[in-house]
Amino acid sequence: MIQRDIAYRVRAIESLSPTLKRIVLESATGDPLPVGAAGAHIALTLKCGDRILRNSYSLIAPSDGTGRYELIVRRTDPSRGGSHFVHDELTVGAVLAGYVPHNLFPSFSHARKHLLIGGGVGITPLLAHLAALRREGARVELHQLAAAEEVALFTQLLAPWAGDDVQVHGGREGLDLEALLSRQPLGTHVYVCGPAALMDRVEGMAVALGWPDGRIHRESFGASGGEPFTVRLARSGGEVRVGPDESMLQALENAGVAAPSLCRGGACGECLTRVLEGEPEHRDHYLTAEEKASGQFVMPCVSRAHSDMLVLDL
Amino acid sequence: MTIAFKTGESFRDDFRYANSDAAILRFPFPFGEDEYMYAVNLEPHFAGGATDAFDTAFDVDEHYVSECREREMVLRQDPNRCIVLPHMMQAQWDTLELIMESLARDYPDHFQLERDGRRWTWRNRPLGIEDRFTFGMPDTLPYEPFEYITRQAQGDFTLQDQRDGNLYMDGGMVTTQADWSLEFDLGMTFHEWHGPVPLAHEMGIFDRALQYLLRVQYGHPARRLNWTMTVNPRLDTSPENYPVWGPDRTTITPDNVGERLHLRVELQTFFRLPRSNALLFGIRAYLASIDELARVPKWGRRLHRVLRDLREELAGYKGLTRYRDIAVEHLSRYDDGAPTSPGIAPDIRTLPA
Amino acid sequence: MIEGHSRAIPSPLPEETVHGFRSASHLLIALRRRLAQEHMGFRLYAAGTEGFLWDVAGACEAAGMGKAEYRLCHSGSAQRRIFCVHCRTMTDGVTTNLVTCSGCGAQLFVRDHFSRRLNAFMGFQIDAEVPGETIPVEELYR
Repeated sequence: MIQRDIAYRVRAIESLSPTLKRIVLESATGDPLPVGAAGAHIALTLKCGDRILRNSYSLIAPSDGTGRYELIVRRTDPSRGGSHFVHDELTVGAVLAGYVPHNLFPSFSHARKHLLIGGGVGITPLLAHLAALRREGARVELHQLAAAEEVALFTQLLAPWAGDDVQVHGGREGLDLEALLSRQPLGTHVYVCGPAALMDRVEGMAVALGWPDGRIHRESFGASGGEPFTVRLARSGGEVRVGPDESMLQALENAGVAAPSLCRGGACGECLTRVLEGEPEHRDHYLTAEEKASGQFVMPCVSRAHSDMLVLDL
Repeated sequence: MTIAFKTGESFRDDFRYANSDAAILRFPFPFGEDEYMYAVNLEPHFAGGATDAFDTAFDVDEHYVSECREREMVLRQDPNRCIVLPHMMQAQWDTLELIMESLARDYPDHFQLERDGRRWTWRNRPLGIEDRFTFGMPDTLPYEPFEYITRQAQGDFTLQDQRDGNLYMDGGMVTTQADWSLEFDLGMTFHEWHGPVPLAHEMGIFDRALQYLLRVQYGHPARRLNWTMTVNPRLDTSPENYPVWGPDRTTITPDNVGERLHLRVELQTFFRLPRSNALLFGIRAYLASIDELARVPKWGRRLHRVLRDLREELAGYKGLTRYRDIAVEHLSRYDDGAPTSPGIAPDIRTLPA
Repeated sequence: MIEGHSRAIPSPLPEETVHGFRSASHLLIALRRRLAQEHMGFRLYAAGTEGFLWDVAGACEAAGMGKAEYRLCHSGSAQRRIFCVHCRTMTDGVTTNLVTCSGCGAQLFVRDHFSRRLNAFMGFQIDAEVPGETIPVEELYR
């Protein structure tokens, strides 16, 4: 019943612009792919030289019996290495290990209307949402913010759904966010994906206008970033650096440490780990207040460290 | 896996129901220790466990055909035992796909699914069903998809919509329940529908369980066991029919307690549904008389100790008050005071004659 | 504001901020129309008896609002609306822990279990196990 890893084969690579590539994946084993719903992402294991990276990418189209997952990857600079690998080294036919789709950015069937706001390559999950919501006949409106030179590209990506309620705005000042959020009917949910500054701006504006939290949705891969720190492994020896954009669990996995996990969201308790030294920064829902105060345990899937070093019983 | 179905069982009136030796040995006995208290006893629903009941996503056993017939009878008498709110249609198809794929994979002798794009053919041999339909088009099925497939599965099912950091029970098929009403609870949040449960709220059980369930991922279901007791092998102990089954509670005597009083165990499973992001709860009820269970020596000893020491609030909530003393007295004959092993496994391969 | 007489006119002048309605039903019709015109950020506050409040909440939910967007404040009578779980008939204005169901005639015990969807508390037959075995009647919900 439980399946986490899938072997994907690259079926096609298409260059959309000097910095954007569309990647089509299929099953490398011939087994059917699980449903990839709008909003879902997959984590891929990328071997870049001697480094192993686990990067998450949103699906740009719902995958429901199509046998393929589609992604768009932007070359970033500076990159942690993943986007350079995808742009410069990945070839058709290559096989990549990855996880089954996981959806932390779903749409809500209870909503009366769906307002989608994208910034740059943040359009990726919104493309999938737009396709799914239109197919269901839901009420939906999309606004994409793009750099002037990319307006044409995003307009083309959105062409299948062109209409008054799908708009691409060039430049930062292209969209009057306050007016947009002020005129939405009761029961609207807003979904935003793009640079953190855009997501913060939409969220801040919506909250200021009185939107309840449950109606504002930001794209998330579930990784919890923060100040970097170092984990020392008391039993197996060695140290693992936890970067600002990855979770402690991801860093341990990337370093080849066999760390148990299940929910990866700080709720199930599966990854409970004993702390021998250092001060954990607890972000989970599992430990009791007393357990957190004791500093003896940590949930590496979401929690981090206040101290520069955590010594774990691993 | 080929199952010999008992097709003539009844769960009402004349109560024709019994467990084979194999069915007793695979029973999901719920007590891992000699005493019972609430806990967030959630664990991954992996294939395999202490008994065979945990081997598949949706367990099918020798009572399958009779239980489906009983469900059909309940629905004829009370169609509101199956209600799904309109915004849950995507979750209905998710459920149909999950159950069909699981049954066809786990019991290929009995169930087959052929998919040709969106045109699907479903064969359910034990119930003599063969239907061709178009996935995503409700009109091509005789019932809405959730009702269609849960009429062909053992146990109750509820559909939870996830929003505002909570779970809302926005649909269900509930005909074999331990005294709760879908029609009344429909639309409630996780804490609201658990409102009547004593002690657990103060213990923070529901807060923790909710946080866990909100994070259940597609492809990684979870499970837990729950239990109560039922007089006679009656599946429909609904509040709706309380005036029908309530009088049974006064019929227990020292002479009949062993065969009439049944332990009712719910194997609860929790599946994230991919398209809707809804959470499907499977609430699969197993019934065995206390004498059937006591044929496993460890279980006889343990059931005696658990019932004897159960806190009064829990005994009252579970409706055991009228017959608990009789049951404890009866079970004491199976308890020689020997220690029991941890966990729920029966520890034997065959039952003593 | 419910004025409770048949000559009340909801909005005599456009600048009026208090509208008088003839009954709760009269008010709810206007409320539903009004909510259909409202935008995100809108908040609703209601005060009244429990039955009225959950009717208002139902209108809010039907308009797409969530729990965070309306606030309810109970005032006035605490009498309860009871849903007979056996025959599904509602019995209104219940002030006691036991009530005779207006549908099937069963003697119902009034539970604290409340359904917002049905806008009612659950009632179940008190003497289902042993006919006549009951408890003293008490007035609890005035």
